[in-house]
Amino acid sequence: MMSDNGGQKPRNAIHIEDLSVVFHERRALDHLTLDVPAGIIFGLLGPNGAGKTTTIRVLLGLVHPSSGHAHVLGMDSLTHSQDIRQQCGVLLDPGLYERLSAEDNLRFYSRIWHLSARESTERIQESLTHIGLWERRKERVSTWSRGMKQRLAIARLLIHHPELIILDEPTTGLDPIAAAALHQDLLDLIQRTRVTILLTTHNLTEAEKLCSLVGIINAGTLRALGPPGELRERLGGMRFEISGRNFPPELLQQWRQLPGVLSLQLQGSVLTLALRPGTATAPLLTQLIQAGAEIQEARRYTGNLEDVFLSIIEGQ
Amino acid sequence: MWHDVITVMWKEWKELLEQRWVFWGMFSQAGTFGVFLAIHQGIAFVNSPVSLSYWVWLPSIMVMTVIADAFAGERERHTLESLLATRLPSTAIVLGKLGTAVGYALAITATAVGVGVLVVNIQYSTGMPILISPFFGLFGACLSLLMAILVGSAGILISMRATTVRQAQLTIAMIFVPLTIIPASILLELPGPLRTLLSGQPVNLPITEIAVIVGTIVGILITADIVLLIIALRRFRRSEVVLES
Repeated sequence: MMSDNGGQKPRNAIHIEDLSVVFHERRALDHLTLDVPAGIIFGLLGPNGAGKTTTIRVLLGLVHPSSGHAHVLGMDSLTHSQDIRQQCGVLLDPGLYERLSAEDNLRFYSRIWHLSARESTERIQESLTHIGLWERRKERVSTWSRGMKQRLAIARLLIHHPELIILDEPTTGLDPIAAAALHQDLLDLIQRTRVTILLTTHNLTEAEKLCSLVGIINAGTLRALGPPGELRERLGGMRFEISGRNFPPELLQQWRQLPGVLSLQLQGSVLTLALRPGTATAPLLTQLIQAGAEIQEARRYTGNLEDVFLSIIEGQ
Repeated sequence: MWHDVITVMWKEWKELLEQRWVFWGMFSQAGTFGVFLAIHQGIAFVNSPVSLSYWVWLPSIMVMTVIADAFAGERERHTLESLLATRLPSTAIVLGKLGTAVGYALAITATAVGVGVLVVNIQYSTGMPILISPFFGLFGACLSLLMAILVGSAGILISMRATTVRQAQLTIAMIFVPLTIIPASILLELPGPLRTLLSGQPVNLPITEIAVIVGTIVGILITADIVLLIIALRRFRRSEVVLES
């Protein structure tokens, strides 16, 4: 393996600096800078068209940057793309050969990575047994459910024990049970091995559950980076949720003008306020009761990752 | 590198053999070319230029049926990007796919020829085995291989840019079906002595002149094969193929 840092294992599995990609005058990535430390699950979050898949393609040398550069496992993605692909396991869409059996899909990938026949047989048995599909190894993949295919695709990308795993929206289309099983597989994997996982997703609950570091990307630019908890504290703000009836519209209109109220949303019988830190909530409740509202429940909480995400995306 | 080419071929063959139409194709070609044409042509099946022209035409058509799927099929089935994200060198991917299409076409041609020779021997039995002359067999095999590579390389170029298999098939058929008639027509106009040689009879023409004629035909095809193959290999850039997806 060729390495740009004299063969030493880099501290960051991924280092992206001032990366831009322009397709037909459309900027898919716009001066993106990002570091992903080795040995963690990193979540890259963003809406459709934010630049997540383009970032993955650049990292794997499948798309050439217009400017800037990306290093993966210490290797430049432009000059060492073949070496990078050698060290990576990638899940895209999930990319299985549906006419072939599960065993043949894994056999093909073990041949790609030059595993010996014995090694290949052992790893195929081990991985299919691990995901509970060994008995069905001879079946055509096309007859399987989406969840089974996705687990097979994960088993396939692990067959050569990669150093970096890249998963592009791995739980899209999965039912909650299959998604939960996949989450558990990933958590087991990160505990068992010292791999780095880059995960792109729209599913913020998934990111919060799995990732120790997340980056929020929109319009090709990194908008926020940090551990989910820290992002929640820093950017989630304080939320005040009131359930009840007869919320007076005039009062709500007045509240919208208050300096401590960042946003106000009434959906059915639930009123949600985003507040600046330090804003007192008791006077708001008193005002509501005096104005004739019937309050069933009120709670104060710190915004979750979804709130952070929405505030960043909607704040553009 | 060759290990990677064989790996791609292994996968391509596995996928190919999982499709029923492949076997039906083999049966129908063996039936049409091997049985019908052999009965129709009689002993000429083993020595006439008309028969030789089918050795050129059949593999070309057979390559077309498979090569359209090479990249357009992977793109349509959403497996292309995963394949490109592996460590496989681009050259191995192209050569593996081409090798499978050419191998498939030659296998069908060989089956059809074998069936044809068998039918001729049964139908027109003279007590002596009726066989293809070594010159006919070698020349025919050479032409089959070179034409299959030629059409396959051009097909790769079309398939790597096509969005769907159907689009690739239509483009390939529109361009190459008329073109495959050209070499077949040339074979029908071979000089008399060469026609005699094809039939396994001795000719008075000096061996050097025969070598020049055969060498020219084969040389033109080899040159065209090399040029098209180099173009296909150079045009296959992962970054461009991914963006077509």
